[in-house]
Amino acid sequence: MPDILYIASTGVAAAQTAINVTGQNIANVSSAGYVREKISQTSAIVGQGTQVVAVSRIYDQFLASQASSAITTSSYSNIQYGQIQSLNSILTDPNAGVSPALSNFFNSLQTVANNPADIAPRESALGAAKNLVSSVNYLQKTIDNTNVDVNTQLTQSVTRINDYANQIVTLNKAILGTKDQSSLNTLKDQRDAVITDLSKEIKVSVNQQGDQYLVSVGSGIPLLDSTRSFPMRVSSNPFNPVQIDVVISGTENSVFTSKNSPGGLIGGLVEFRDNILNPASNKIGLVALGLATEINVAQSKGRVDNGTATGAVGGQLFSVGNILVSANDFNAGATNLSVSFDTGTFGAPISPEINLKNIKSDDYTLKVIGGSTGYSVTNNTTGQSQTFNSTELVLDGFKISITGALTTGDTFRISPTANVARNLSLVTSDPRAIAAADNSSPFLSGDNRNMANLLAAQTNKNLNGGVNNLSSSFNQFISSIGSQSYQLKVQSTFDQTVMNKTSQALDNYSGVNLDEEASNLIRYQQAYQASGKVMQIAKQMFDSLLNMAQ
Amino acid sequence: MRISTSNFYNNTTNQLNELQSSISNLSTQVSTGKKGITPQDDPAAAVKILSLTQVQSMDAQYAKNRVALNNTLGVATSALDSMLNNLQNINEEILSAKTGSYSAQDRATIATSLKGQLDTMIALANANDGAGNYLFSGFNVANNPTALSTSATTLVGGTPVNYDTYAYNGTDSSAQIQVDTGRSAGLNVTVKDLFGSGNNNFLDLLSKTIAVMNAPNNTFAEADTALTDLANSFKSTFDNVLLAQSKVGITQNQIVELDIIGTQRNNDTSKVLSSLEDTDYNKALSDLARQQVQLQAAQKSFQQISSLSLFNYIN
Repeated sequence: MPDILYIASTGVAAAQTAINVTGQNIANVSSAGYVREKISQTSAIVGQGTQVVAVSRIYDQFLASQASSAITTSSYSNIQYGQIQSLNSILTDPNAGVSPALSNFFNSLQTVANNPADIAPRESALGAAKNLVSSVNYLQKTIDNTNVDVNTQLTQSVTRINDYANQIVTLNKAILGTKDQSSLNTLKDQRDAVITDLSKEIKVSVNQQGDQYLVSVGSGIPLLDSTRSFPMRVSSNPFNPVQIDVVISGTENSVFTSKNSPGGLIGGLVEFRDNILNPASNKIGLVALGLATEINVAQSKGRVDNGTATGAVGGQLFSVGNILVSANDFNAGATNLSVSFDTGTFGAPISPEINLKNIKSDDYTLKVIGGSTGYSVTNNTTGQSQTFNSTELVLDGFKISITGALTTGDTFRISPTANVARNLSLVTSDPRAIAAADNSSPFLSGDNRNMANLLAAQTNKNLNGGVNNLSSSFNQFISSIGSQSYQLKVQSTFDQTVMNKTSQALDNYSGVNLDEEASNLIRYQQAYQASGKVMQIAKQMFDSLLNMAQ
Repeated sequence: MRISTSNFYNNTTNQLNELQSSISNLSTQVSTGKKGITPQDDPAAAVKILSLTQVQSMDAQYAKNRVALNNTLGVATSALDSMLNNLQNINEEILSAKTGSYSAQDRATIATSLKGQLDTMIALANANDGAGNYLFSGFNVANNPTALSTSATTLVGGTPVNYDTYAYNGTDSSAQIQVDTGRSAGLNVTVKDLFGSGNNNFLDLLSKTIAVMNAPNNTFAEADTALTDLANSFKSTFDNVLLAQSKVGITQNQIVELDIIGTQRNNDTSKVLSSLEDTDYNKALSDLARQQVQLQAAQKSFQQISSLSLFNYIN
């Protein structure tokens, strides 16, 4: 005969478990990453009452992977948007910006033109030149600081990724070794939370095998298997010691770049650096090169007061330093490269005069192929490649001279304009150095004929292939940062919305709803009371049976 | 649809945050008067603002250049005015000296007066702009354009008489100043233009005439020859000064016109700039009012909805 008291006691026990689970859910209503639990109760075979078969996590792997990939996408655009802010704000600063400094410099030259014999306007023109140089240097400094920040963030991100990988390996093992249902649920909650954190850093794919997570990142690069993690690391860029690359474990030369972006924070930072930050140095460098060249060439057409009746030919006002050439750290050979601006046909004789129209704000890679073929020079922006075998070469406004034995496999990076904004400097502090007078003898202090040449530096269209003058080239740069910034703003807002929606969808599915728990609480309380009532009735029945027997 | 309790709170908090940030942005716009456009908000507008600001800055510089040139022209005009007065005085002296009944003594008296006029004339030719730069010397602003040269000799009654001659100590062309986009102007008047250069320039002839009339026992015929040469030179010199005067006047008129055009253009640029970067107060204030109401409503409804809970009914 079925034991009614036993049946009732299983009901009480089940209701108690259910109330415990409800209590656990209510207690964790605000816990991040907590997945609500629910009991699964089934009837036991006839006469055996009820049983709780499982306390299960209400979790949807599909919603979870959607949310995690949305987190990766949002982190990818959001970090780029955040980084471009530093450029965006400095570029439009009405006081510290390069644009007003450029205007002020040329306005001050106008004042020199009005009073070529007076020293005061010349002094303020030199002051304006100094300010202009400072503002260009400062802009480059901002870019350099942003680069340092990118390095720091990449390093920190790699540390976090490796840390997360170890945590997942540990959790995997713990999950394998745990039988207790409630501990198991907590461990899984923790592991899913780590996956969410990892998704911010890099694109994550989880391959679930039984209760184990095998994780790969980016385009399927394994991060961990069931026994161990494969840490990533950072290393200096072989061309540029101040740039930090993220290196994938195992393969020595496998580096994340914008061409194999792994998404997330790492992908966003790498793309920002490759596509926005480094090109920014090149573009500002081109404007700075244009300024220095135009002014120096105009100076050479004029004459300055050197205390003699004939005066002297005007000297350079600005210096731009040398072209940035970097040899690959892994170069084996003795190939040696010297690169300078081409002293071409532009302007009047001045050394070095630069063929401005041909100069591009791009980077180039020179690679020694060997044999009779010599070497190839590739424009890294356009991808255009040419092969040469002469030891002297003029290309895009710069001149390459190769000394030492050509060693196959050696590579070099040539960045003609990358260092110009950093190195731009004013080479004189003598106000008389502004060559206002025409280049004819004798020198006369009231002669302002060469000011026309100096002032024309503002409007000459010699940049970007002869399309832009100084201001318009700089404005084009601002405009390109502006529209990239605008696109990133729109993209990051959109990605954030998608992230919120997918995270909410997961949270709405897995999170705790207090009203629901309140109603469960009432339900299980009633179940508990009802089963208690059954026990009471069973007791009464038993008692009345005993009474009958008396 | 099932909503988790924490999502309900998060959503509401996010909405309140967004409204507050939007209200803060609007109140900044209202208090600064600027929309605060950065390239990311509107790349086209930001670059337009930048290039219009550059145009304004150049225009302002051209206006300054015009003021500078106008000052120079003003000083030059008054010097030329004085030259014309002085020339007329000289002419009167010439006419009076040509009186046949005058004695050598009478002519010597006139010669003394002419010497004063000559000194005045030289001082006017060597006028400077107030900062020490000579006006009528072309590029050679550091040196006086009319300098004492060698002395020359003429015969009066068979006796050699010395007199001073003057050389032009400047250049033919003078400094040009940019007065507008693609337009330059300058004083473009030199002593050489006014008095001629080389032998027989007006100042030399005046100096020679004075020497002749000062020579003891000079005859009327001797004086008359010198006076006639001087009178001829006077006519062309007077015309030269008048021409210079009108040239300067034309340049001054051009500057006035350019000022008018420049002011108009600056107003137009300012209007476009203002439409791009200044706060639209009507819109900003009505948005602000609307969003304040919205924020209040959101706060009120949050307060009311969050107080709804089944737990209120469990005793």
